[in-house]
Amino acid sequence: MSEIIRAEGLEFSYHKHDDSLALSNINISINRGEFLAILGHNGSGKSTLAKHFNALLLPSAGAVWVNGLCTSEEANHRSIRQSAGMVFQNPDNQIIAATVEEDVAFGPENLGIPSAQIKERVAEALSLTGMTSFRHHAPHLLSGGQKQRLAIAGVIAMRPQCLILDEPTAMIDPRGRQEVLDTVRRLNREEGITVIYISHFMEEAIAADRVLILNRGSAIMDGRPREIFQCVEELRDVGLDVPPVAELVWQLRLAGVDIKPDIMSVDELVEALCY
Amino acid sequence: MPGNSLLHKLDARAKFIALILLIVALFAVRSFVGQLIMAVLILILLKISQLPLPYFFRGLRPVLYILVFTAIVHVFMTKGGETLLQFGFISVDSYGVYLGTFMVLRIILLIASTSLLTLTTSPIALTDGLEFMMKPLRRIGVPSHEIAMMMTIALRFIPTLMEEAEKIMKAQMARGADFESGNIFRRAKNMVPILVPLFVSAFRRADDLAIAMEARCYRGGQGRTRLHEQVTAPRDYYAVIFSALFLSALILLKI
Amino acid sequence: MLLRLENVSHVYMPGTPFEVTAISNINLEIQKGELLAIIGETGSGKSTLVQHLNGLLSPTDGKVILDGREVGKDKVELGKIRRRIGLLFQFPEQQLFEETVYADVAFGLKNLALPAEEIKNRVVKALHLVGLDMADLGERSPFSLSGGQMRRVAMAGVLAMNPEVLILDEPAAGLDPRGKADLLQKVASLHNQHGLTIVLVSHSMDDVSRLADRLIVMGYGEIRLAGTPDQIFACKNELEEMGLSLPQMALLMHKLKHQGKNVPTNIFSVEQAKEAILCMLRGEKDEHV
Repeated sequence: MSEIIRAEGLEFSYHKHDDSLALSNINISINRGEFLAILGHNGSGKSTLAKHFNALLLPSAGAVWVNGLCTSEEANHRSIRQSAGMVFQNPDNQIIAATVEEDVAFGPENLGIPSAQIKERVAEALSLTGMTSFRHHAPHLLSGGQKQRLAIAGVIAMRPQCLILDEPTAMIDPRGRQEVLDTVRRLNREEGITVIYISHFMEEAIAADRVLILNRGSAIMDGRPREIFQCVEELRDVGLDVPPVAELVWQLRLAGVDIKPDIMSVDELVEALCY
Repeated sequence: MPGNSLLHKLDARAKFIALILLIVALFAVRSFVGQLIMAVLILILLKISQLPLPYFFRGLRPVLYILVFTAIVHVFMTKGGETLLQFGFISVDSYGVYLGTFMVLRIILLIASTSLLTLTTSPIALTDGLEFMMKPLRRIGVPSHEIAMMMTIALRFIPTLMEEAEKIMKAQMARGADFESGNIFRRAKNMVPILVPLFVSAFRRADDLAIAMEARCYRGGQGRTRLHEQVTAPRDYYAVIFSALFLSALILLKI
Repeated sequence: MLLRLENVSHVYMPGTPFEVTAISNINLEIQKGELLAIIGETGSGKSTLVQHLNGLLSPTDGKVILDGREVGKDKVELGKIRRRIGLLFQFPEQQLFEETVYADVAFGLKNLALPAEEIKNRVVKALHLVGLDMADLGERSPFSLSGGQMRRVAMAGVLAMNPEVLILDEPAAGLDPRGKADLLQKVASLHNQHGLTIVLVSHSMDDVSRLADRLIVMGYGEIRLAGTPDQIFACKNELEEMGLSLPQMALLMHKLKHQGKNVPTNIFSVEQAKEAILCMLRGEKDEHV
């Protein structure tokens, strides 16, 4: 597998003469096509890290490369932002235009793509996110989940290789959360887009290939979700929960029930208990 | 208002230019005959536009106060001609009535012709048209692209901020705020609990939006293309030529 | 009984093409001292419903009755009603506006012509109820606090009015797991230790099922299901039809039962689920012996 994003010795502080680091010594390599979930409680540095992958923030020390391009070079920013698109937490504050279709076109317009091709890309992005029937709608009339799908479409229209989502579901209802998660998963599986998904909802990380846990600006765990969610106590120590099923499995094992430790879903647990 | 009439199909830029010409004509006419001709033209355009009449006239309602005010000022303040009515020191002269009527008609026609543009053009096309119209001003340092972008963002966020203002108002009422009683100063002061949160949130939104735009490679108008390019058809030229001829005719005929 | 809604309906923008019926024919009683949870998807009418409880909206049709008197008949009474029934909207941190935390919490009290001493006592007490300390935070700007703290300051602003009923619309939305657990635990203690009547509005079964005495499930502007959490979670199919999912543990129990296992289905917490499964396994072992 080839690498798309790499961070080496990444450090960052928001204030120049401040000792408190928002990120300290982050080393990570993200592969093409991977679905990486970054988890941590508020203030753990997960959003700060995400903004480095799209050159919205630049390292105080160390370096980040996207597609082999170093983010510290200003000349690379356009190309980096085109290949690593970003979706933000607040669904309202990232929609720029007064209709769905115009908003999806915003990115390609900035890239200077000819009108006929923008039309193609808009149609494609709307269909990939299931938003085609809303194309002439005004954004403020959409639900939270639809707004976030619109934001995803706006990024997809730039034909990125990587989609970075910074807590995209923190402000929307469970149905919207499911819509967003399904869309992201489909883009990852079917279109081969690398996904970096920042969240504090543990359940959402189950779908990921890999989970990175941040605490106070440091990466403290990195592995497959099944491995990570067995570490119930360590996760609690850093203010995170495990999904209820994983916790139940852990509790049952503590009580001496003989089941596999890496069960994550209701169905798997039913199977383990019944057969 | 969505629609499919000739007026809807015209390019926004052509409509802008035609409107400017019509407005100049409106200020050029000096008689009721001239105004009548203008009114007939606007009615014909209205018919072509297929706009529902009640909707069209509702647009005049907000300016009702201005109309009444204009009429009163002219009727009572303009002196000349015969004195029609006299109550003590207040008098109404015939020239005042004439001028008052003339001015009110002019404002009505002005609003009507402008509504013809705004009601047949999508806000987006309107913004694009405006950007085009301002382009020559770029040379003297007017940031035409930035102004158009601001208008786009305003169009996008006005409904959101209105919803938010209502929500904040309710939230403050729920914890004891009173927006209904007291004199005007008291009421103005009572708006603080709504305005502060609204501004805080608007600044926050502006901040978020700037980052989101940057993340989507926005860097000003340079080298930007558009989803819907403005294309001119022969009918756009005809519309502009017709308006120019109309204006010239009115001026030459001195009506 | 404290509050009663009789055949309440609310229509937004009646008589225009934008007319929407938000709730229709709602009958509901809220008892003193209970913790009622109202659950429904976005757009199910739950927010419209709770705004009727303190007179922010008046019913298009039907009556809201507080202590035997109809709400909204008398405009002057409305202020008093809103003091008795505190309502905190979703993301309440957005309503903060004063220069200091103290002033913000005291905002509602200023209109009550209370002595300064009394205002101060109430602010200190309200901050304490939400787990914040006056000495630490009182003079700080509310905008310098963390999101979770700001939310609690907003909550204190409502509690300072000494309400009998506290309505919370999606109180834990957007908080991380630790913040969420903290806040819900504060809500539970307001109910258990301070005897407040609480109405929790949420779209998540998981969050509220453990706290509530009684649940109401809304869909399309109507009350679809009402009862104790046990009764509601037995209606798996109806809930799923409405786009609501069971708490994970309840779902697990339903599925085990479906496989012919002998387990109860009225279970929502991991703790209960563990006990039920251990009990089930013990039972099976005994059979084999």
